[in-house]
Amino acid sequence: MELSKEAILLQNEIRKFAREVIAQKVDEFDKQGVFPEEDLKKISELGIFGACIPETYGGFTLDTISLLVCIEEISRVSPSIALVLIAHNILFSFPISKFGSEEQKKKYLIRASTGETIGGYAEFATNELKIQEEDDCYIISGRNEILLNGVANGPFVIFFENKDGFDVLIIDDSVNGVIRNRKENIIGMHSGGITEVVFENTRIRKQNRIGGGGAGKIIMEEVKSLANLGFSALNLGICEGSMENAIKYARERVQFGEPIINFGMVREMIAEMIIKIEAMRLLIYDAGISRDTNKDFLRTAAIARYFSNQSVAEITTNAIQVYGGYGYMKDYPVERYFRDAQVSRVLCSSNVENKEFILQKTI
Amino acid sequence: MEYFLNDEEKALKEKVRKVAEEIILPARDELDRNAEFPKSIIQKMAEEGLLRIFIPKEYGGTGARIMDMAIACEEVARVCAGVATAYAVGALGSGPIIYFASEEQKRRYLPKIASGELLCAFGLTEAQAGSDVANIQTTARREGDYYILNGVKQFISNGSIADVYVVLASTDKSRGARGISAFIVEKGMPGFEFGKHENKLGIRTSTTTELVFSDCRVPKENLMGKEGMGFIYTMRNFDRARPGVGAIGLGIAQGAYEQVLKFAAAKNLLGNQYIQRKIADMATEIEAARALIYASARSIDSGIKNTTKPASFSKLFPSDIAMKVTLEAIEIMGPYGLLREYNIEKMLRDAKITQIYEGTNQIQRGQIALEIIREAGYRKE
Repeated sequence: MELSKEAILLQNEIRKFAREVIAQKVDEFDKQGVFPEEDLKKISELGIFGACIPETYGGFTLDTISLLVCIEEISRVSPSIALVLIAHNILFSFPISKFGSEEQKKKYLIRASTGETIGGYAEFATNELKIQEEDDCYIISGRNEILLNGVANGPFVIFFENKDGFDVLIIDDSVNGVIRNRKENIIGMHSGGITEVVFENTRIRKQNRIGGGGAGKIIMEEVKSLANLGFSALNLGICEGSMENAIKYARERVQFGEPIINFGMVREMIAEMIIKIEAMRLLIYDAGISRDTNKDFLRTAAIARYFSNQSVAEITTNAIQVYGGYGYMKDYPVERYFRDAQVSRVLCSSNVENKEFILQKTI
Repeated sequence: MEYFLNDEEKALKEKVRKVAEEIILPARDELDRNAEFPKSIIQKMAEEGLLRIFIPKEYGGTGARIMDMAIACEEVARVCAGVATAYAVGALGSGPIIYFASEEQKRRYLPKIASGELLCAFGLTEAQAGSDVANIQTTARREGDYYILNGVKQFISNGSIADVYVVLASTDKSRGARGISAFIVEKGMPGFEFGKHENKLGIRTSTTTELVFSDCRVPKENLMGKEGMGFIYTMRNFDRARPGVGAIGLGIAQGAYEQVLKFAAAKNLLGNQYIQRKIADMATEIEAARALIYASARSIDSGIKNTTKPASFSKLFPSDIAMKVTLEAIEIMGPYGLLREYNIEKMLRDAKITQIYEGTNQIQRGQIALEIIREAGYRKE
């Protein structure tokens, strides 16, 4: 499976940028929990913040494969930054671009396309959000542990389930009664700008609902499927970053008089990484190409997500194993990849849901 | 499952569980957060007599049975594997003294280790000697009534906290593994300092430190056993300590499994067969790990001559299960599993070390394979 010339050019550009710019402070930012605003500003100059936004609103609607390649290349170096891009592009901009009203598009997409505002996302499980109606407003109360890009203080969308099914609301950045607290108690993605969010009788105008009239389920399915691909690319980048480091270390580390890469049990761990990364990439690109050629991609996206969730857990665990005791210390990046992988493999859809979805689409 | 524990073993299990739940549980989160050594907890465990289980009866202990260690380590790790590590180092550090030290050395150290007055540690690993134990660079040069130690030990659990260290150093480089000797080094001996404190993924309450020897003068009486026997002592010590590491893995898996079950019940997931399948598999694997550890411990305690295979079995499988169960637990709990307050992410971070310390699982597999080849009368090449 080959990428287009344009996609390869973009891949090279992003790879270079990630390695030369993002890599410099990635470990420091992780340790201190810094939201990498400077890096994000530079990324916005590359135009990636408008990747899921039509030209009319300042974006350029990147094809799926190119978007996934960007996420993958950034994730190889900084999974946290890749997560910021998934939340902004796929979970925030995409549902507004595709299902939003003209007013919503004008209000949110134009400033999102330049990265002037970074959009966020939170998802409420059944009964986690109380919602009442009053005149032209919804009054919502509830707490969610994970608001992606919460630190950026931009607008965000919330997905929730109510009696009529799924629903999507845009929460404007100017709304009162929204409390965001920095989330320090999460295992990974410490530079990802995750906060918790609390609504206390927060009034949201009804016109901030996306879709409406039972469209929630369709929006949900499309957004989640594209998110499945985004998170698969995030997983893929984490796997590649982990493997690169493991190979480098295994070549340098000498025990029993030779580099440990000479030992069969180390070789086997690395060979398994190669196999799984290759299989993962094929699944992800295949689903991406299906979407770009207007074919059904939902099932393949779920399969890619399932497989990459499994693989990212295994590969990051074994990357630490290749390093031995050193891998367990915060001085080496495999420790960070391992923590970030846990976040990457559970957000937005679980593998139980993915299996069920794959089964339903198949039978 | 019924494992036919005897009355003392049952009493030990109950006692450790009580200590773990009443004293360790309320403190574990803060200990992990601050990466602070659980000094008062270890002291309390000593008061409860829990350090005595590592020491033979003649020296103030209760018998140094592997089975007791397995029972206690599982129960502590079920609540906190960091504390379990700090605790189990008591066995790793005292093992060589118990089995290879002189009568006088035993009398000098073991009763105080049993009572908790002295904490001990084991100083083996170096920057260039991880899996390749025999490659240690630390030297011990005889000078009159002293040995002069020079070198740096790395990743030493309970380093800087412990009072007594069994330290491996080369007395004759030309003899490689057969030139390694073991010494008992006390904190405060001139030329013995502590270096870097490691910042770790997990078991953060257990302190991991460098031991730095710069012309450290150790009295010749502190040589343990014979010169050149250090490598063999180390391997035998590992055979006795590894079931403890397996038991720590088992405890983590058990703790994670209980947490998941509680979560699934609270979220009404127990009717879902996907979840039932996962829970059933977890429970089965945990039980298999426990049965393997108990069987290995009982056979080592029975005095079998070659303990390498049961020791490696009992470390390898339970630590892999600890990893598998905690990863699965995160999957079941989803985003909640990522958050500290749900007590799973720490178990996952802790679990990873059990595949690494006291011999990586690759080293265990290698040892098991070599034993099998040897027992079958085949050759490697």
